[in-house]
Amino acid sequence: MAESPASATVTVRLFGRLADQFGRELNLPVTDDCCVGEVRRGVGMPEGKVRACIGDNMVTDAHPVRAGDEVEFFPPVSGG
Amino acid sequence: MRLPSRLSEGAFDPATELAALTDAAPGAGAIVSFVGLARAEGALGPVEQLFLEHHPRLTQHSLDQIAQAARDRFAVEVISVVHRCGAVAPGKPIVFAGAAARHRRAAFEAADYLMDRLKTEAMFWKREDGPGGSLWIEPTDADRADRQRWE
Repeated sequence: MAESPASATVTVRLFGRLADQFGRELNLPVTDDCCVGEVRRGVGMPEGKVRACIGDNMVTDAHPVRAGDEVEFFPPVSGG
Repeated sequence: MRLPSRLSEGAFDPATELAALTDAAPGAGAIVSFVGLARAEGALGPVEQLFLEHHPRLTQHSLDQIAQAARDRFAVEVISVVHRCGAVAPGKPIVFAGAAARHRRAAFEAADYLMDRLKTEAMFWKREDGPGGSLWIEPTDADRADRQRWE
């Protein structure tokens, strides 16, 4: 049975203050030609100092996103 | 001898780490180390704990990268980085950063470099928790200026 667009989702994982604000893990519906920027806006995160990561690699907002992808968003890090 | 960078889910003892660093560098003429401790006061008042959130894979990778960059850049024999994750009580160690070298200048600079990079690039998200509330900590302008010194 072919997947309908309504069942196509990505898993979004958030860290730090973003998780407090939007949740630790979300499922977001996506279309065929989705990109990271649209996922960011779909969560409701403003543009700013938040980096995106897919498969342990940092990606830009233009990076394509497909159903089944896991997209992580990181607020500014602070160690030490 | 090479010491792997370590992400520590529980408490570590800086004296033990310093001894391990010294033992790993029998040819060194200089050992320099830094210990960062959790503060008891934050912007919202008394701090009951500092919580360090980490990434399941990228946090260790960031420690490894920063330590390797120090090995590549400075004439050091051994680099040691140990960094807590999870809850740290006030006054307890968060991070140990150390360098062993034949001469002191390289050891001092490598330890300084390690801390400036760890403060701004190690993949943690730090939260101060206390009776006044919780506050996520980000690098300060001073942290960023310190990091820029090495560019």
